[in-house]
Amino acid sequence: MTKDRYVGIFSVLAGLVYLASAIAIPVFEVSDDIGPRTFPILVSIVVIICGTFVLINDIRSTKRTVFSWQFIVQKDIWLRIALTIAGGIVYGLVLDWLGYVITTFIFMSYVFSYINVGKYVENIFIAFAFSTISYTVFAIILKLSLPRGLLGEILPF
Amino acid sequence: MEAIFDHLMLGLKVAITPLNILWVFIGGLLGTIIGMLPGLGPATGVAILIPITYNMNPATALITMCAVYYGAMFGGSRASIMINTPGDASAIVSCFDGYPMTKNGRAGEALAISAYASFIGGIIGMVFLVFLTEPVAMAALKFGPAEKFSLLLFALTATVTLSEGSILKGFIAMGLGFMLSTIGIDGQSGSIRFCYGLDALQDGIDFLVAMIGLYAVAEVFKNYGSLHVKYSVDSKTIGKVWVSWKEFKRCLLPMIRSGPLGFFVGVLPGMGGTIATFLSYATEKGLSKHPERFGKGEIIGLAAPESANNACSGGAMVPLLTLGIPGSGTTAVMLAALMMLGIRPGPILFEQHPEIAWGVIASLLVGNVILLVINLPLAVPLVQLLRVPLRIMLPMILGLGYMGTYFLNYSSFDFILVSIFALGGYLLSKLSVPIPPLVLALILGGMTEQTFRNAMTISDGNVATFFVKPISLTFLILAAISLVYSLWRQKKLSSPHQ
Amino acid sequence: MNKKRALWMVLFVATAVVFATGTALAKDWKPTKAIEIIAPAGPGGGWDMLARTVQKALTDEKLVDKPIIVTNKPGGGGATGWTYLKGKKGHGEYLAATSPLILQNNLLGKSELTYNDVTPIACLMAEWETIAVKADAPWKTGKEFFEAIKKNPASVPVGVGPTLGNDDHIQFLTIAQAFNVDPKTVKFVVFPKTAAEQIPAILGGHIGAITISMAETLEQVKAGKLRLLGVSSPERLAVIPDVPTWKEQGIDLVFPHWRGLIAAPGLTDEQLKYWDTVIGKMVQTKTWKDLLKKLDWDSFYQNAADHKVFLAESYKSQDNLLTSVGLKK
Repeated sequence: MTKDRYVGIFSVLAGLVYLASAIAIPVFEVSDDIGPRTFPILVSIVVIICGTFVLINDIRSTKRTVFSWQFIVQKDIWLRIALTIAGGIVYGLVLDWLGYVITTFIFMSYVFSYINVGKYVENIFIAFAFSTISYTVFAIILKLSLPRGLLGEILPF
Repeated sequence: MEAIFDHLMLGLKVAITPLNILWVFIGGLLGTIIGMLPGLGPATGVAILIPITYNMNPATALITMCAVYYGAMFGGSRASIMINTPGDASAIVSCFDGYPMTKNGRAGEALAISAYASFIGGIIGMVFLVFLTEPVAMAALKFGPAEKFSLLLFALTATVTLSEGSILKGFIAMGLGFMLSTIGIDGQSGSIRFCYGLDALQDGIDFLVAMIGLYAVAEVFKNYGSLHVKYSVDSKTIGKVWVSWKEFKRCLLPMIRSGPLGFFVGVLPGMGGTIATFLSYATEKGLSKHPERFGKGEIIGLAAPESANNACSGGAMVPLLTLGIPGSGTTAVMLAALMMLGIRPGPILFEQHPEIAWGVIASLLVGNVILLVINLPLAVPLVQLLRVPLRIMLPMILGLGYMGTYFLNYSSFDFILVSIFALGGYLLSKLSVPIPPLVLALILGGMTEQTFRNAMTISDGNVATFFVKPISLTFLILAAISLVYSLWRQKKLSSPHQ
Repeated sequence: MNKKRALWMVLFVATAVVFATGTALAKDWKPTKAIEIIAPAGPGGGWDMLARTVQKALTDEKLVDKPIIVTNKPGGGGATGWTYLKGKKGHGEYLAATSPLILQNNLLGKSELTYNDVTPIACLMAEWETIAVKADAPWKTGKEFFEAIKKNPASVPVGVGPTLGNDDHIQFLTIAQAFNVDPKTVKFVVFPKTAAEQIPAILGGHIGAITISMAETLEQVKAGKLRLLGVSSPERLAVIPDVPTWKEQGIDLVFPHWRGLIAAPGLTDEQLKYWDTVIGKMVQTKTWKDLLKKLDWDSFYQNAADHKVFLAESYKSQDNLLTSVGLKK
């Protein structure tokens, strides 16, 4: 597979899925004449056409270079990416409940643990400093709202 | 003419009191710092100030808020230049050449020229505000939905043609951006589109969430392969915070001609810095004798948009001061703060409260001088941050990125979106699909669709409306020219190989 | 890592429980920590400004002895912020700003949440709705205007924002119906941004009229650029004495765009009484009255009991209204 092959296939598929959803959009009486479907349908057609052209160009091209995602060779990188994404999602899910300071401390320690491998003291220290300093600056001094969470029951601010 | 100078003197008298200068300094510094952080932009900066402004007189309050606004514009591009992470939508373009400059060991130079360019743009904005407020405000009223749609189309086409290599891939990226922009409740019909049952998607995807994912977090992913590299940039070649006269001279004309462009785009409500910067970049690339240098660290590619961006914030003051209409999210917050102080800007603000209107205009002058004074020395310690090892820097970028995400909508659902966008952005850039058209289409998609539908409603379903109106027709022709020109250039570049 | 996280959680949950029970046992209730006023929209909007005026009035007049923070929780036309409030069951330290949207979201099927899911505290202020045309437009009264629409709806596109189905829109539909204009024929042009783009659009002559809250047009009216055809208040307003009310023009419509405060569900009587008293005192203070004047807001105070009745009545009348103008099916 070449890069363009991936791009072409992805565009055509995304365009088709989007087109199908666009046609299924319910239309109410109170709408304008153009309605909520027209624009999405136009967009999907453009994407499908462009994707098809990319595919055709790729098939006709003579100087193709094979592209690989290198999941095996670069498994360290992909693993870190997966860990970051999972961590980010969990961070979001527990943020309101645990509050910013605790969650951020945990998240930062977690991220540091696979980026700055082995340096536990340094990592915990920076994670602690980051979460408390950023909370102090943004939530206490600048009065932006960050979730107080569990600590909010104890602390006065 | 004389009256204008009298007014300006009045304004300067208001702006140059020790107290106001102190507040401009504080505001400018706060704005610069806030502007640097991803997700935190001028609107947040101004909102932070609201409780403090309660006890100020209205002129001081407005001048301070303006200082935050301009400060954020100065600061927005710092992170773009240093770590390829725009602090705000209008700083995306600064990544194109600013980051390559850093990679080439010219970080100091890049930071310096961006400060100078911001200053020049800000001053151009001020001069236009002094002399042209009235006629420009009138001219802006001529921009109805049809004209705005054509301008949007032109800006989008110009951006697609910027994508090196494949214009087709640029269009695909734009299409994906449009797709993302249609997610949520359609304001006109109330139909819920592409939410697949998720309530959290009903308000649509905040483009800043996408930006943090596509740029800040994806940039961290890109660096995961080079953790063993000690520094992101060889620390010996960070370079002095200095621009040689020769380079400055090359940038001068682009900076000066980008100013008016930025100002006029800024005057149009809802348009703003993003369009101004992209258009200015596309213009300079088109005019350049060496367009192939753009995207590889061409200093003009950084200077011109910076100037346009700051002139744009001067332009954004026009609808606020003359109509009482907030043209952007930031000026909307300013308007709210002013109203709480008992001032409601509108067509008679210049007569009723000349000290406020002219004080603000004069503050542009004072503010830009002070910001230049803040930003040049600030760049010296800032470039030293590039000496922080990647394995410390990357987690910090993640932490700040996620914090910025929370500040956008105070919604933890956005954390999931950021993660998805980061992965998507990483995969797309692996496949050499350009990201800028996607982001721009996401930012402008809602407006593009709505202006199209509004224009069609007004014309009672007649498409000819876009071609009959002269302003609209002009932009459509410009869009066609830029597309044809870039197709022709691409053909010329690739023909020797075939 | 995991073990450690679990340990922390246990520790904090335990502390939280101790403190929570501590508060519930107290007799004469008072906030025990920082008070949070939720503005279910971004900074700069109407809810945000209400939250901040309340914050300022309560703080400056020293009516509460805990700090007050304003939290912005935009999304879902208020639903995101109110749902957050609903989750704070029994906690008296959380308040939120509301408006008729809490009823309309539910009636139009956009949100499950309704006024029964929270504790109404007070109604505070109202803005009035108006229809504005350019100062040089041929129409002087509502009647002339709607006759022109009846003749040729396409010739008078009407600007509204940020979405259809809000109070601005409902006002227009109601009046149109009263003048025997079929609401479905009206050409609405939607301006989705909070930037109030409908005002430059009408000044530039791109649309024929706008339906909007009166205060947003005031400066243009003073400058002689816009003309108001009528206003939805019960009596003429002091700032625009020449503009007749809709009532004077023979339409049975008094339509306040009100905003108020709600608290979390499941409050004790002591908690409710505390806020009822504090807000009752607040609306009498000079700070509050000054702020209302600066913002061109009309006082529209109802205490907790009255507001609850008002909400129930409004829910019914809005239901009828939305159904009759064709927005609700």
